[in-house]
Amino acid sequence: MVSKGAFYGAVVVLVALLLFTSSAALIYYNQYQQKASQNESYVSELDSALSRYRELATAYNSSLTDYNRTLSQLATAVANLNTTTPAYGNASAALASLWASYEKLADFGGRRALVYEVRMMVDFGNGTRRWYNDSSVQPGWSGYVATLVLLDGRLQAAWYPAGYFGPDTPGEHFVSGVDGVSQTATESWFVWQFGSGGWAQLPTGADGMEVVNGTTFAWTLCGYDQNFNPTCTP
Amino acid sequence: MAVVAVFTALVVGSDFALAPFLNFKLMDVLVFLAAFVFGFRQGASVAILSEGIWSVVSPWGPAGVVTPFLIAGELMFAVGGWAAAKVWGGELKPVSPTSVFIGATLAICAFVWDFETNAATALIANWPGLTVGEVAGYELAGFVFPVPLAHEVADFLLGSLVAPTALLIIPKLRRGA
Repeated sequence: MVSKGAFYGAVVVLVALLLFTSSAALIYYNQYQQKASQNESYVSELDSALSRYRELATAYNSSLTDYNRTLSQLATAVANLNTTTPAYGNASAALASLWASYEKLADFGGRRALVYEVRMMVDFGNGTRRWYNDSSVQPGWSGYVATLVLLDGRLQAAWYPAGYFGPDTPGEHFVSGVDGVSQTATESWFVWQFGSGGWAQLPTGADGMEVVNGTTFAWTLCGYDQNFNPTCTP
Repeated sequence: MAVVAVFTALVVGSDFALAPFLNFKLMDVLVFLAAFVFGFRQGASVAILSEGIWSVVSPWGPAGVVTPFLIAGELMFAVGGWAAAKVWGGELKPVSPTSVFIGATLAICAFVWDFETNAATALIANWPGLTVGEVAGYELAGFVFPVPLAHEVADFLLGSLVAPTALLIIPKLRRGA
């Protein structure tokens, strides 16, 4: 027979154990509640950050589109500006770096800029040839603008506006220097395009050359005959 | 009267001595011992006086309006000591199951003290518009590791190890005096 004292003692010990475990449970429940609350706060912050990020990404893409349009307009302006004006000098020098910057920004945004891959060769007429392979240009650029950008603006030219050489003649550039090498009294710069029949001189000049994906073109410093036909080919 | 004065002095003195150790106080055990050995009235007097004095002179500043609730909570130890004397008064040995029973009784009193003072804090903070939810919130907020567990475990250990020995020595001292 268990004594009264032992019975009460057992009850007291059991109650104490119950309270110990209850206290521990309350403590851990309290910690759980705090963590859950923190978690909700983090989730809320994350949602807010995600929302801001999406807004930023939208604004970024919009800016990139504007950038692209601006570049296109700048290229058009460079193609039609008088080469003697300061604006032409500034714009032609800036165009290449702006284009490179645009391509990088498009990459950062996780999307590839819509570009045409072209190849350009410069033949200096003394045995030196320089290739610009896998170069990218913006759709819509002429051969002149593409050359200007690939050479970082190192292109000397004179601008003849539309109608200068007669009625209905388009405006065009007379290129007198490429990549720092100027024409001479007996040699001049000619532009060529590579096609199915090999290299062909472009009668329209670089301004009339339509650059598309895969276009290969060349500049050569050549002598010429009395009809101003080049005496060399690339 | 002398018993109350001696125990109260011991409580307040030990409280100051143990001030750096939060949640470790001899007050609970001493009130329990006073009630166990000398009866509920003596234990209750020690509880009221010692908690009343400590609530004013505590190095952390006066307790303020929560003081009556602290005293009420401390009275639980007097009740515990008185009840324990009724049940186990004649079975005391330094190392015996009774030691564990006494420790468990003190742990229960410590839990009630924590629970009651948390509820009192909720009452004071939300008076007069107190709700059950607010009380539950304060109870939950009060159970932050290691505050309540340390209080209960400390009281259990002191009750199991120190109290039984003291309960055997104090009557002998009393007879010697």
